[in-house]
Formats: sequence, C-alpha cells, structure tokens
Amino acid sequence: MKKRSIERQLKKEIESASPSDFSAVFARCEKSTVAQTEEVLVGAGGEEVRSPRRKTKLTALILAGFLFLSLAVGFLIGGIRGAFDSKLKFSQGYFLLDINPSVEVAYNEEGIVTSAVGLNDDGKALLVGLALTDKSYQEAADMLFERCYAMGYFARGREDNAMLVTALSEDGEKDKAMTDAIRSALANSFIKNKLCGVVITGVSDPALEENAKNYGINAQKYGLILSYLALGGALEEERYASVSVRELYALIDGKEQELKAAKIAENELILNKFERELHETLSEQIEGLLDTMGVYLSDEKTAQQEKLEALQENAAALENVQTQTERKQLIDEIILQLEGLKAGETDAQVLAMIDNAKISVSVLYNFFEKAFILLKKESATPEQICKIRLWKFASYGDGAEDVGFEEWQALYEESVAKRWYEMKEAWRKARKQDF
Amino acid sequence: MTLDHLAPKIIRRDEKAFAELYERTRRIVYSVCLSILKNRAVAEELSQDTFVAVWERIDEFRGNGLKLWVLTIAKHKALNELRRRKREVAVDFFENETIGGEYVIETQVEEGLLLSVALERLNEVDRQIVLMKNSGAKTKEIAEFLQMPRGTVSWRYAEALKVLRNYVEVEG
Repeated sequence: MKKRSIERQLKKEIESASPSDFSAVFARCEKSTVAQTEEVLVGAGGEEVRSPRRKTKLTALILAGFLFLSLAVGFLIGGIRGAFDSKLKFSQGYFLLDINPSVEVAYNEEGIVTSAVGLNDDGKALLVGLALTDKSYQEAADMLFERCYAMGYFARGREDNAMLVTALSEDGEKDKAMTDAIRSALANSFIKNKLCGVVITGVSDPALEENAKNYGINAQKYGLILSYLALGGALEEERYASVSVRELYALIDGKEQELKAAKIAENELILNKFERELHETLSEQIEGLLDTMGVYLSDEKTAQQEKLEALQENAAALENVQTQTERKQLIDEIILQLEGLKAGETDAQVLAMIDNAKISVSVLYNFFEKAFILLKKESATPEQICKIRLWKFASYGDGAEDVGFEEWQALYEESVAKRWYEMKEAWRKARKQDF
Repeated sequence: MTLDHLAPKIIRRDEKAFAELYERTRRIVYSVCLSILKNRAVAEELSQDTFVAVWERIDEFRGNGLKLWVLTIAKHKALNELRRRKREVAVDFFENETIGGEYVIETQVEEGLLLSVALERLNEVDRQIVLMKNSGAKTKEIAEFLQMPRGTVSWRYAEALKVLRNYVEVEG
C-alpha cells in the first residue's frame, strides 16, 4: 500500500467517522444561550442534544479492463514511374507497402516520388518529418524502412517483421517490375539491419486466389476486402468487383476510425483513472524526496521549514492538477522553491542534496510527461504518435542476432503470404503488446 | 488561510460564521479528541461539547489563532474526560476486585481499518500527528499545537505512516 493510499484511506475514514451535523451542535448552542439567559433570569439549565453519527456512504468506482485500440491495416502506396534505373521501366501507378501504417506514395514515370500521404493515423505519424517527395523509390523505401524500424514496427528477436509490397499501375494491374524492385530494396534493408523479416510480394494462397478469381478480382484486393470484413465492415459481394482499391482503403480507414472513436469513449474513464494514478505517483515521489530532505534541514531554521512546507503543499497539489500547463507550472515552482531552499543552507552536503533533488524532480517530471503523452495516445495527433513511438522504440531493439534474410524468407514467406490479412491481425496483437 | 476573521462575527452570534468554523475544524477537533481518548463515540460527543464551549466562550478569545484556540479547548476536554474515566475505573476497582485495575482504553475496530490501526499501534503523539494531518491540519499548526519543531512533526509523521504501511502490508 502506498503512502498516498494510506493517507487517502485515513482521510476517508476520518471524514466518515467525524461528526458533521452542525444543526445539532447549533441547537445545543442556542439552548445554551437560552439557558445562560434563563440562568440570569431564573437559574434554569438546558438539555443536551447529541448528534446522530453521520454515515457517509462511499461509492466505489469499479473500472473494467483497459484496451488499447491499435490501428492495424497499413500500407504504403507509392508510385514510381519511368527509369529509376536505366534498365527498368515502370508504368505510372502506385505501389503498396503493407506494414501497419497506411501511406500513399505516388510516383512519376521516372520512379521519383511525387507525394506521400498518410491515409490513417499511423500512416500520418509515420510520415511526420519525412520528406519523401523528389526522392527515388529506393531512397523512399530506405527512409520508410528506417522510420518503421525506429517506430517499432520491426524489432530484432521478433519473427513477424513483415512488409507487403504490391505495385499497381493506374489501371489497377500489378506492376511486377516495380514490385520486385521495391521488394529487393526492402529485403536489403532487412539484411542490413540484421532483422528477421519478410517482404511479401503477392498473395500465393491458392484458395485465396481461387476465391478472388470467383469474384473476378485479384487476390490482393480480395485480401483487403477480407481485412475490411474482419474489422466488422459490411460489403455486398456484388460490389467486390466494382469497389476500387483506394475505396477499400478508405473503407478500412473509416472503420478503424469508427472503432477507435468507440474505444476512446469506452476508455475515457479508465484513462482518467490512469492519469489520476500517474499524478498521485508523481506527487508521492516528489513528496518522498522532500521528506528525506526535510530530515536534514535544521529545525531551528524556521524559514527553511516554512519553505519546505510550501514545497510539500505544491507536491501534494500535483495530485489534483488537471492540465499539462498546471502540471508544468507546479513543477517549475517546485524547482524554484528548491533553489530558494539553498539560500538558507551552508552545509555543502545539504546544498548538494538540494541540487540532486532539483535534478530528480526534473527527471521525474520528464519521465511522467512521456507517460502522460503515451496515455493520451488514443487521441494523439500524428506528430505525438510519431514522438511516442520514436521515444519508445528508437533504441532499435537490443538483439544482435545475425539473421540470414534469404533463408528466413524462404522458410516463412510462403506461409505468411498465404494469409497476409491474418498476419495483420498478428500485427494488431503485437502492437497491443507494444503499449 | 486563518480563521481569525470569524471570531468577531461569532461573538456577534453570526450562525453562518460559526458554521464555517465548524466545517473547517470539525475533523481536526474530532481527531484531537479521538487520538487522546481512542474512543470514537466519546470523541464524537466531546467534539460537540467543544463547539458548544467555543460558542459560549468566544468572548474569551483574544488575539490570533482561532483554530489553535478551538483545538486547545478540545484537547482540554479530552484530557479531562480521560482523567474522569480513569477515576471511574479506579473506583470500580476498589468496589469490585474482579475488575482489572488498569484503565483499559477502548478501541473500536468495527469500521475504519486504518484508523483502528493508527489508534492501536501508534503512541499518543504520533497518533495526534497522523490524525490531525489527515484531518487537514498543516504541519505548522500541528507543530504549534504540540509545541514541537516542524521538522520533528514531519519526520514523526513519515515514520508513523511507515508503521501503518508495514502493519497493513503484513497483516493485510
């Protein structure tokens, strides 16, 4: 049980036990006044009135489980046309990299990226600060790979690192040359980073292919439809052939947004609870620091004790702050107050201790601030998501296993590729674990 | 914020001012009584008595420190009650030898686990500090009331909380 919990419980118990019936007290006071008056007049006394104990009913708030909603479907659509390599020629179109974020990268006939747009929150976050325009498809693929890695979409020691590559020309036909080129570039990135990884270049599941064929569509598109249906979307079979790939992505994105909004509403209470707990912990940590410090400040120095008390009040107030601004203001004030404490001390050790406390408060604040941002992830902007993921994953994992990509690819590609939409489900789970 | 500004109003029999004083000090008054007597029902009664006494004797209040003055009344009432009860137990002892000679302080455990643990496990001063602090009293006020340095109050409070925490964690 934490110190703060004990204090809270004690306060609750005292509040519950202490009498609160002012009217009963005042009735006695009035009788006493009357009695005093009568005593003067006739010498009579008054009867005492005892207050009934106040029973405070406490309502317990039970919070159910907390689920982070992770956005799962992701892709990179890019277009590169023309000769990025003098030996290769592409039709104008776009290629699709399915990792987790959804990004549309358009390319021209020269194989130069002309635009990159995030199609969902994760996709937007992935692109924050990434200038892909005017880069070659190879550079763009490298940059995207690096960013994905930095943001935790790939990790060493994990065997589900995967990207799906599909290049489509504008008319919707597969652009095999581009698919192979992108695949090659990404495969090199996996090898370079010593990651177990697979670049899936097509859907090879015969059953999927067959089903797709029955609907008159390619397996890739069919996979997207299945992804949409897996998210709870509804699409009539008659529309399978007519719906465009872009429309499907939009549908998936819309569904994800819908689910996300529902989840945010559902989680609001729980998020608030977590936030409160974080505030309490921050407050408690700082109070703990101050308690320790208080022992070393001289009792005789009244001014010092007053300063310490003001500090303790601010630390306690942290528990009830509502906004980031309030939190920052209080922390700034606490650091200033700590600096002020130094003025009343001469002992070098005490001065060093105060300096250490200042640093500790800053470190604590920064740590908790990150936690607060993380907590707010569900409603975070792409910039915040990008920051969160970079903060969390920028270490690029800690494994050093040297993996033979080609071998791994040979072993796993086919099986993974069979159900790439199922793999995305695995990604969803993996991402839930991330946070 | 000091409560001294309420005193002139209470002298003029301002019910609202008295209600404010009551609301802002009732928990601490109860805590002082409870920490001395360790009996919730008696502490509750004495809390009422304290406020009645404040109402009756407000004319006697001089200068500043209304809250401290109220708490002092509560303390004296609680100590008087404690002495009275000790005397009664002593009389019982001589009248009926089967009754134990020691004055047994009643501790009610039926509700409020931590409060009960605080009453059971802490010495009187630590009890007062813990109860007053968690009733809303500031360290400075407790230090003035108990006439000890603020640093000592802070330190004893932290130590007392450790005792409570250990007890709760072990006894669960």
